[in-house]
Amino acid sequence: MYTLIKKDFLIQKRNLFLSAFIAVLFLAAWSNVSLMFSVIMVSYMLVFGASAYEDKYNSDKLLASLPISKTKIVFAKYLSVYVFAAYALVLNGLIIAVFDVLKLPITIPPLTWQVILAAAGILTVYTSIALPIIFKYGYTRSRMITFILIFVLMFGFGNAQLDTLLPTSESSRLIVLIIGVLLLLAVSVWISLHIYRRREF
Amino acid sequence: MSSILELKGVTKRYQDFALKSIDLTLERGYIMGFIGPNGAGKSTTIKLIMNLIRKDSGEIRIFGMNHEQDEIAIKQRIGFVYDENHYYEELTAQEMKNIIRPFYKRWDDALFNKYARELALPLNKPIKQLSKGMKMKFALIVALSHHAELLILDEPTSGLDPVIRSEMLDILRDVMQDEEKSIFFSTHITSDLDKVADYITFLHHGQIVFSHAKDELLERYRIVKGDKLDLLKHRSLFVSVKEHDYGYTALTDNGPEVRRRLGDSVIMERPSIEDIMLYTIRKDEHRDVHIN
Repeated sequence: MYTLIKKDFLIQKRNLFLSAFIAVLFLAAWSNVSLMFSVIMVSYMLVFGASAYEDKYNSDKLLASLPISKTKIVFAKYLSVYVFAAYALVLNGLIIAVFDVLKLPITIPPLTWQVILAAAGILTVYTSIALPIIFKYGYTRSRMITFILIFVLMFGFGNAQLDTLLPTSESSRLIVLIIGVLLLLAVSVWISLHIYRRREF
Repeated sequence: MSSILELKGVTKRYQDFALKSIDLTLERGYIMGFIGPNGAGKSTTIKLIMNLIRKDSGEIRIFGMNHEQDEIAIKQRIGFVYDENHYYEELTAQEMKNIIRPFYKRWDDALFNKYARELALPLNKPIKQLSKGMKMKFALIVALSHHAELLILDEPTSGLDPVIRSEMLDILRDVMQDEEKSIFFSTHITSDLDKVADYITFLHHGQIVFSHAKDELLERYRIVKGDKLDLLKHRSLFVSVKEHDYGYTALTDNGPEVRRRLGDSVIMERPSIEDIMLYTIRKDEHRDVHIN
């Protein structure tokens, strides 16, 4: 599993650089939710960038021929979302630090646990819907849907304030929300496993 | 002891193509050439063996194990080379090797480096900058570096120049010094098999035409050359016949009978595997046509 995720990083050396520019762009252009968007966009780009490479070289056939269980391949893909999100978070932290040092006139809301939780939540909802589609049809055939979906999610939350996204005052509602998202994730993993085990290469 | 590879009544149906009840057996220590024209179903059969697609019916056993239930254990002991590159081309051969290595319990870096040296594989160049021949060599080296007992090769030599093909065949012969290993080798370049194969399995229109020891085939079949006169009476002796102005050339699977009936009026020669394949396909295409 570790090797599979490491591979997703290795094959995307160029995208890892590119993601820094995306992050700067988002951080500079948006206002109150820019940090959250930047983390989501960078994660999105890297998770699906890896799938794009896989499709380009038909490497699914390679992975399916190696002694790796299909369960591991599916789990690794879901796990990679959070590894890329962690990378995106660190990357954004670094860029904000650079903004600070340069005293650029850009105000970015501070990195709070609400930001992290909201980003993780939106990413989880997104990948829960997108990954089963990708496991079924491959990246290339599903990229329109997954692309539209990320923008629907982004603009859907675009005007929202963080406090309306996350009801910080009512912890019970928050817990219900978290459980709901985790359930969605579990169902998504189950569907992906089912699809990928039956997929023909 | 069980066979290294065994297919029994394996079928796979697509909308426009079907593999019909494939039976074949490969024992330890032998190379089986798997031949047939493009579209015969060779790659489909290999995908079934590798469990990349699911069979409709039949049984596939590898190392005596069920190829679906024991998939991971089986794949630990299989090396594969496909007709196309499936590696991440942005990576160097070295980086790609490092990704594959952890998946194989018996990976042997010393062996990998030995083959890489012998075949002059540039380890630090991105794979996309390698020639087709080099990519194939890389795939072959990866297939050989984890002490696989069964090598599955799908058209590994197609599109390669004769020098690289010969180098690859030399390596395969070298591997076969170890009598515990077997190779299943699909190709339409049958001259490769003249040199290395022990068994030939011929697939045509999704069906196995024959699966025999190569030497037995080359003994049984004969190319016959003669004049037109004797052809009319004896057409049934031949698998198929090519006629031309001054006579005919034909393939027979019954040399002694041809000699007995036609005596010295014909010349008989040993066929190549390609001859056997081409004349057999010809028979199929002309089955319902009266040949003049």
